[in-house]
Amino acid sequence: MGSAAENFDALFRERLENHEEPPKAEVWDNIAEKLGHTRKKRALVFFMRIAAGMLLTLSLGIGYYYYTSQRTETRSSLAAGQQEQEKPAISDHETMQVKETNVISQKQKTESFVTDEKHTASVISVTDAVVPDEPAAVNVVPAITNEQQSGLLAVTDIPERMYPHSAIIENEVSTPSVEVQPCDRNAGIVTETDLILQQNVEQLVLAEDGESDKKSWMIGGQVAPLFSYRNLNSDYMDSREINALDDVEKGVMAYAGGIALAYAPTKRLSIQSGLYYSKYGQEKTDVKAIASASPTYEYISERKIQVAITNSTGVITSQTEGSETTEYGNALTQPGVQSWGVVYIEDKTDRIMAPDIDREVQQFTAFQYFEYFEVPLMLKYKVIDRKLDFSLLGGITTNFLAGNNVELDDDGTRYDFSETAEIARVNYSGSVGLGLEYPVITNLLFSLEPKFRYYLNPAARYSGINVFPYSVGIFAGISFVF
Amino acid sequence: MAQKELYDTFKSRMFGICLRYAGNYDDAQDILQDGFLKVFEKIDQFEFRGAFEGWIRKIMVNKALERFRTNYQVININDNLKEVDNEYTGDFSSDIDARELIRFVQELSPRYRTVFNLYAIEGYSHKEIGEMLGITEGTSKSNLSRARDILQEKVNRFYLKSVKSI
Repeated sequence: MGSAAENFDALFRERLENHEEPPKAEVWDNIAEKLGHTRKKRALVFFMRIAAGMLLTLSLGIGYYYYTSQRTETRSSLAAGQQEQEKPAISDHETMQVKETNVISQKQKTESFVTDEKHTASVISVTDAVVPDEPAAVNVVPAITNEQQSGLLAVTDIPERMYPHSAIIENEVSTPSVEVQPCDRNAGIVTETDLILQQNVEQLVLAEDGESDKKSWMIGGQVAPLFSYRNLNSDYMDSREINALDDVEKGVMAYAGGIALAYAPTKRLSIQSGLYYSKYGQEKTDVKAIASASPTYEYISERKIQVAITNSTGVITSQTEGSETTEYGNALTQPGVQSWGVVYIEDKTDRIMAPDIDREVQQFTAFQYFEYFEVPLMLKYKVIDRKLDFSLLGGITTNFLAGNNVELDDDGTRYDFSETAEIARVNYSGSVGLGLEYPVITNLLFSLEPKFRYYLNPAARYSGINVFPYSVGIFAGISFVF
Repeated sequence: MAQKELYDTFKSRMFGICLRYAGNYDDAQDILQDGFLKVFEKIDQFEFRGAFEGWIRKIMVNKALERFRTNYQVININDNLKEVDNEYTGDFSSDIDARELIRFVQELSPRYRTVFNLYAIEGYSHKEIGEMLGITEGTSKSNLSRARDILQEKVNRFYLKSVKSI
């Protein structure tokens, strides 16, 4: 083909390449209409899903709440004066026996369902989508591969009105000297911009042809070390008293983990739920044990000690072993005030009993732990959608109390001591966090999610102190997308 | 509304492209409409690494090709036309305006039109065009050649007419 033919093409190209002609106004009307529709529809589906999830979580929570409160009532009715809140109800004892199960948990989620790796791995070529009309065309060749860069649609100009900076930033960084080339296939120049465009096109081709191939579901597991503590406020106690509690209590390291399930209605947004197990707690540094000297107890043969614990959260009741002493068994603690109770620690009295009576024999540390099963409902929005994805997350979690215990620490040796009563069985907490995700291999993502959680309801409000537990943890997880 | 602004910024340039690929004005509008819907749908995938206009332009061409595939893939043209080494005038004066040229292009058969657009105006190679359209390189070449012949003929006729009318 001689240059006459090329010239002939050029004449058309010169005149048509940048030919502009305004379309009729009706085109925009149609577009606007369709945009409105799809958007409304999507929003509706989206909110329906959220509503369904919340309904489920709420009904689980309410159901459990009624179930447990009925049980408590029945048992409490055996004892009189069940309404006296200030007086530690004996029935608490029993309700606390609702035994916690040890939960084996796993961990959770993340989303970025379509990774860049996946993109390149499964670029669907233009050819794939075409029904070849000759046998020779049956070869399935990726339409746009790195070997075929030349001659790609070049970029004619950069619309400064639209994206003055962002459109060219990358070019400037990687190859400062790059020029945006006008379309000129004779020159055969492959600019950086061509390559970039090509990548965009690859994504586009995938997005168009691979719609059904989109990864929408994720299942995975997560574990996290947690730092947990609580925030206090009170309806009537002054800040001095609250501060006194803060002085003798500390946060503790605990852990959480679970399985997560997520669905991504769009590429960037996903809704997550799952089942988690979490353990929270706090440390009490002001625990004293004293030999019991009260004549009241003289008829009791065993040796006893008294334990005093300063505590903000709920009521710590001791587990006593002799029935006669049950009523003294509550090593009760009043918020802000040390209170005393009698406890058997039969095996241990030898160790902690001093020969002298009425003398403080030992200073202990106590740990108050709470275990929860948790059903989160989280939204995750992918801010950066690259190979390494970056997301923001937030949501509400329903926490079902599954167990609690108090341990005494005697120079590093731990003893199960008792349980905590007067704490809420069902709680709601709010979470916010960041998410980082990286594809280990196709369909398998590794994630790191620093999360902060704060209880929305007081986990305990005994004696007018409202206790809001919170935790900070970094969840590490592996998830599978499909 | 940002979408409207974006549309207004690019509509004329993009419509110019759609007109070349479409068989008629209405089809061009359809392509433009579908193309912009796709742009708005996928705009969050544009990573600002290349020129935005190039990206939109590519979407339009893709839409046009999609239409070509769905509408015309069953039409089998005799691809083995012998290449006629036509004499191209290599020059025509500027009194043929772009609209007239677009009309000529539109009158080509869908296959010829598509190949001509991709090769002569967009600058793709025959190999690439072959892959895009699912035809062989040779077919692409002969289609192009045939398209040129037809266009040349139309240009010639146009001149004849205009000479007569003077």
